[in-house]
Amino acid sequence: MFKTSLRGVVAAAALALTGVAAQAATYNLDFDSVASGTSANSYLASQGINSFAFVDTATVDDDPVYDAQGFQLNEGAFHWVAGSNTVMVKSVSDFWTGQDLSVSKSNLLWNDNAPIMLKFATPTTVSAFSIQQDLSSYGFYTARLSFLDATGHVISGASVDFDQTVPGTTISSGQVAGVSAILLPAGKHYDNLSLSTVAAVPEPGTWALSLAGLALVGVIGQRRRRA
Amino acid sequence: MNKQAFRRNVLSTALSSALLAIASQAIAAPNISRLTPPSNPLLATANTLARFLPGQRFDLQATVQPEAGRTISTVVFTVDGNTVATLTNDGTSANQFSGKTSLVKTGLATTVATNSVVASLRAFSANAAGVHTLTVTATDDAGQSTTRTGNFEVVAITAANGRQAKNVIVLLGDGMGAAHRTAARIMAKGYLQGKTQDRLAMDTFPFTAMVMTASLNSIVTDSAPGMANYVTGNKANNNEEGVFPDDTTNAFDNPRIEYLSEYLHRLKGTSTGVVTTADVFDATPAANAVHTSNRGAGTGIIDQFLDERANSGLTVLMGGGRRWFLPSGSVGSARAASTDYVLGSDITTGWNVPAGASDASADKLAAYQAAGFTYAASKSDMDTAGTPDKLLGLFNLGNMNVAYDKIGGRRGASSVTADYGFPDQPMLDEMTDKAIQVLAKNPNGFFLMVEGASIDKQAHLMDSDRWILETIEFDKAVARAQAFAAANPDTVVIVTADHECSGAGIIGALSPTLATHKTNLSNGTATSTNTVATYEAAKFPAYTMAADGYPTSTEIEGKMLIGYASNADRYETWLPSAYPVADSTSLSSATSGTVNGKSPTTVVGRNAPTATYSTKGYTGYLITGQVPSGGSNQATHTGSDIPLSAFGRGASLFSGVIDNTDVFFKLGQIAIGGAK
Repeated sequence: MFKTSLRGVVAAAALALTGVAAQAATYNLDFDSVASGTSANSYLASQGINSFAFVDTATVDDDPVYDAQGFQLNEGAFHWVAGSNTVMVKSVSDFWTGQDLSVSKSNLLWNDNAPIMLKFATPTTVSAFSIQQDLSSYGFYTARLSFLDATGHVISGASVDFDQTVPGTTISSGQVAGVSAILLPAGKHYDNLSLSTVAAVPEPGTWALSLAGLALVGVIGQRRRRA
Repeated sequence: MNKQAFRRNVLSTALSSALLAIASQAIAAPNISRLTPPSNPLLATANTLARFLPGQRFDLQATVQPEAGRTISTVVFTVDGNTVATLTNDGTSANQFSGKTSLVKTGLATTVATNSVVASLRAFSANAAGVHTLTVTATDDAGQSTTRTGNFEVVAITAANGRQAKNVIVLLGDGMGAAHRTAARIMAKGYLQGKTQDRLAMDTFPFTAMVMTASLNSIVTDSAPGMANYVTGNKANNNEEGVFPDDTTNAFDNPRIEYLSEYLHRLKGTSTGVVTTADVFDATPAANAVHTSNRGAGTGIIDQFLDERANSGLTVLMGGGRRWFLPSGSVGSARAASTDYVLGSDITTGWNVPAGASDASADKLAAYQAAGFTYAASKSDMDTAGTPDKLLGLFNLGNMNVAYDKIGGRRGASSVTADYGFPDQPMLDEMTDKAIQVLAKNPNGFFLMVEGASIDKQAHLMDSDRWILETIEFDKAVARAQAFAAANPDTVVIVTADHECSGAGIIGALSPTLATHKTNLSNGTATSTNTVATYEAAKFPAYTMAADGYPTSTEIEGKMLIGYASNADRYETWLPSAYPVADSTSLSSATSGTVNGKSPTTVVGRNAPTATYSTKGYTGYLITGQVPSGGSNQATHTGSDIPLSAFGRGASLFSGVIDNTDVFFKLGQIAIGGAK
């Protein structure tokens, strides 16, 4: 669950040493200040946020890679891209009768049971991220929240496995550099997002080091009882 | 031998016998004769037999037989060395139930020894992927113990492996082998100069696999494990659905395995739909939401569909089978206490289900409606029902009439459906459309199984024209599901079969003209030699399709002929019959009287295909069969692989030659972990 490495610490230190003028930004979103049925990005605009957006997901096959003999090496590999649906803010009262899907009992982030990408306008260093899954009893035991690079691939080591069946769990991560998108897996609706970023972008040459800068990812199980 | 030596020998023999007896008694220990889930008994290193998805629930069970005169004191289950259940015999003859466990001592099969016990732990599950070790230790009242070890595997689901399939649609053509698909294509689409002029909907699916269909106890499966193996991921015995075999006589207490419908409902909140042209109690529909070792236990099967809907998410149930819903004693009812059940508290506690009741006299039409189901008794009812939250459609007392006769009725060319008393039955594609509309109301998605049941039932009867039209009808349902998946890309659709039926083969075409053939039949001179055109003589049979999508007639010059590899003796005319063979399973058990102005117990149609099976208006000639005729003279299922075609989210996972249980794990990956 927690992935730390010497390389990561070194990378973080290297990042600090580069003297990047980091303008830290923190966002705390509960999705409650707009009407149900508002697009998630309209909600972000209402909060004055333009550094990231919520987008639907799709997958695209990777270009094949061949070995010296001409045999394809990476059959089955793919990367994530934006899908065509509009991610919404919806109220729990809009859901199927009898379903208790919300942590806050009001609005939550909704994409019709499909994964959601929190997509940054430019590659970003995420210093901390957390989001709470809803209260329904549905879910799988090893869902995976992932940080994606600019090509839509999961940044090596930058993912958090969590148990969707524990109601109200908050999924948290530590610092990850070079994040183009955060992939919220399907199967749950989400609420109470908290995101802290380092605004400045390092030079491309430092990416390789920064990629390994995942210092800490984890899950905080917050069991909340239904009201 | 002198007397002394004789005495010495006798004494020696007696002594050694006594010692042997003592020794054998000293090493006598309980025999754990069955361990469930079943492990591979042949080779410790062989592939594990029982496989489950992470968290999928199943029962652990052991049959323990003591030595004569002994009793079993304790049975302990451990998984990976951790004790998961300890059962202690209280020494009475009564069956013991405690929490999720039971120790059953009565009602055991006659094949097990006196004082045997069947020990169970219900609704066990494991999340960690990999092979787990299951160990059972049994101790008898002399303190002697036996341990037996087996294993099972939890198959990992790869997380965030693409978008999930929100909806899963399994279309199952019962008995539909490659030949059935080919015959439907030839009839419905036509061939010219070696090329088909169009494709069946299922032909257009981009990925196809060949599926091995064997059951737990035979290379030739019946429909119960044929369906259950797909949706539990495990092999079941013939005639059993959603369970492993056991050593009790109770058909509803077998070790259960969670169905895909139940697993997805529990993990994702999906709805479940079951649509068939058979009686809804039949093996294929029941093997999606009902757990029993007796596929014939109609009363209990219908009750469990309803009683356990909170587990299965059952939202749509459509087909025939009204006889099981009518109170016993009322006209057309087949409800009987002998096919009903009451569950033990180990099952009700473990699986969180009601116990059920022996209630043959209950009105289950009323019970389903009280549970929120809108009831449709005809196509008209179904059409006017709109899009209810839940839908129960029962369009016949037993199996629905087949496409050949339903279309004939709609064209005004056949009185069969009216003669059965059910002139307004929907086609399978119409039922499929309605089911999808209802199920799609659930924002969490759905699991839908659609069965073309009478492809199999008519192939059993070797009524070629009827099963070919049944396959065409099934393909129209495939087209409806495909259209939905095209509009809703987070849907995976598979078209498959539970097994091949009848060893059907397209052997050629009718050689003489119809007029000559009928003269030959009348004269008794028709033989294979002057009837069946093979190879290039068969040419390309050309049927004319009507606007309703079915052939205007199947009695055409040069019609396609079907041979059967697993047929019993039969008299064949190669001509279509105005009446179907009456299905002996559907109505014979019903209470007599009049329904819709017709008697449900009066056989409508021609006789069963015995030696007198010579109708179709003519006397056929004898074709000697390869399988025992028994009482029914029907063709049997075969063990041939069958084709599976896939469309939509994750379809590319279905390729190669796969086991029927593999399908379960692929669907689990697609619906839970996602697929690109």
